[in-house]
Amino acid sequence: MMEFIVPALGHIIEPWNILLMVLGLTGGIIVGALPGLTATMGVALMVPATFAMNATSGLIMLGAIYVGAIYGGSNSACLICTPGTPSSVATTFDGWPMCKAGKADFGLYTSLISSSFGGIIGTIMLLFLAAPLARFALRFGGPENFWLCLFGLSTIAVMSADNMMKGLLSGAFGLLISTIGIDPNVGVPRFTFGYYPLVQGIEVIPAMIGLFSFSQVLYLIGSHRPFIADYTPTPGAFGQVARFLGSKCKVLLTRSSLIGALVGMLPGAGGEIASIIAYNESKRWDKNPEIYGKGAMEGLASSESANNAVIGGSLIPMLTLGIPGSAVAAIILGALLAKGIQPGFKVFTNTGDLAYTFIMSQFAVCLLMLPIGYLLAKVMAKLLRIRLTFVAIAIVMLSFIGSYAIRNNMLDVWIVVIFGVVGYFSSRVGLDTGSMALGIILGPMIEENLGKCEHLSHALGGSILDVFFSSNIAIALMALTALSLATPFLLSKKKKMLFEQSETGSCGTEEDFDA
Amino acid sequence: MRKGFTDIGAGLFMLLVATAFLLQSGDLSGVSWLFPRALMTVMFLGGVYLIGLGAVRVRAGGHDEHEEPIASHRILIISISSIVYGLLIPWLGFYVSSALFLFGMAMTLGGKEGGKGKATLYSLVFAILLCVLVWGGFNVLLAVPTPKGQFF
Repeated sequence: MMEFIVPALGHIIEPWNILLMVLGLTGGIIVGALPGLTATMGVALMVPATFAMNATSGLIMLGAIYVGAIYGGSNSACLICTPGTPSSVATTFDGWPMCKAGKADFGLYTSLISSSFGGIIGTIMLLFLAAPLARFALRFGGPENFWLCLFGLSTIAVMSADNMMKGLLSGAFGLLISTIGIDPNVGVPRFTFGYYPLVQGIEVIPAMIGLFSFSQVLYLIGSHRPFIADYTPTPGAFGQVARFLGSKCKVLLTRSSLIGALVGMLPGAGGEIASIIAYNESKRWDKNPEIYGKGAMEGLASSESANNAVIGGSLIPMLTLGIPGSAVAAIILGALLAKGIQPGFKVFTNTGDLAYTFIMSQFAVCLLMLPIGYLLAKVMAKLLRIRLTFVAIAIVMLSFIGSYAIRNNMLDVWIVVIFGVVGYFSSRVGLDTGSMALGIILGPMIEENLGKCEHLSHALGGSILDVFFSSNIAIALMALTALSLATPFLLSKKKKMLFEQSETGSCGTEEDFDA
Repeated sequence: MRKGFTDIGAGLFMLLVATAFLLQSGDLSGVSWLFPRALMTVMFLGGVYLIGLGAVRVRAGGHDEHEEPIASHRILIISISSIVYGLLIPWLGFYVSSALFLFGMAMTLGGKEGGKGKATLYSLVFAILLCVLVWGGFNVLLAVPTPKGQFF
């Protein structure tokens, strides 16, 4: 390996490659921050440009766009409660409350540093553990993916611990919405309400834009505030955030990044699932889970480190097996093939120079992201100084064009409007839009894998339970799901015990423990 | 809003959605029907539970939860205008309808502290500038297609 790493470092510091990294990152961050424009779209748009470059430079730029776009989604998630990419849905849970509390700069810097950290951990996994992890990922079939999704869905229990019934119903609503369109198992159109374009199903991104962005427009316009949020930059905020994350969130960041990298390896399971699982795990293991969802830096850090660690993870099966772990990895795979490079274990020997240059460039990009992201965050935070009305109506316009751009279809524009109204109504009656989003994202995967399990059970002549219990990974995931569902009860019990203990020795109230 | 009423609202919403999907289920069967049926059952049961819980809470009385005041008329204006905007796009094209929407909303919902003339100027500049920026970013730089209309 070392014989390739030293020349790779030489390629990285070439001025042309540095310029490509800077441009790719900047473009990626802007694309990611715009609702509707995804990392996939950003990378796909730039593939033709790489044909004029050599393979190394082309890959470096595509990798930089990928990293930038995944991080960029957090900017709009924090500032206007709009996940720029689906990977940033969990970022809105704490990023937006931080912004509303006048701490937008803390939110932006937390997501920046966490994204950089997550990206580096993902790349380390890619560098050192690619082969064994790729073999492990190959063991994920229908039952394992089904339980992985259910494990992700169990986040609802932790997210909606205050009102689990409404959380569960919101999740069920999201899952039901995801069944609109062609059934993934037998190809039957369902729930089209007599409107033929609905056969295409509900696209995730317009639904997210509606639930999080358009609903926020209604909320903001209906408020009597002159600006989105009070914002006064705090001198030394970046340093404070770095110290906080470095001293108090080391374990959280490492755990979330590992979750991100592991989930990233699994085909079909992307940053949205990784960030939600990481958020859930951080909340579960935190001594003060009550702070999550109210502007906790820990929540933001776990979501952002996980979704950027997914990048390294998704590149593992792509480089070692030729199986892309995400849509973007699939596009990069296409670019590799177009250059005549055949992915597989031999990519690290036959074309080791290229493979290791690409991996080392991911390190460089994650480090470069800190200064570039810092400067762009300062510019984007200025958004909060524009009058609320202008921002709100501009969001409507961007939401419309962003959603239309996904499939070039006006249906997606109407999805934004409908889900916006649903999201606003839900917030008024206490339903949870985060759980709805989870349902919409995970629904197709759950149903598809459930169908695979059912087909498998028929083929084996047993029941579906036999299929579930035939896999050790699925059993482990079942246990984790059960633990996740039991978490709110366990936390409540723990709180009561602490309260009873304190009653004997102090004068604290139960509310003190909530605070 | 009082907690009991929010529960009833949430419950009714769940019942409404589940009923709408049930009416659309038609002749679905087998694995296509398995998953949605389970979800609808959960939503029906949960909806009924929430309505019952809400009724009990309303009966028990209680104070309204503290909320910031809401300008409902502004919400109604932006909702209806967004629908009209969406309807205009295929007819007038994205940029013409966007410019009209931005200008109209900025005039209607924006403040007029500096007088009507100044507000009109600001709204016009805002609408044109944003349209040009989006056109430059989406159409020219990223080559992202936008809906075409009769004019642009």
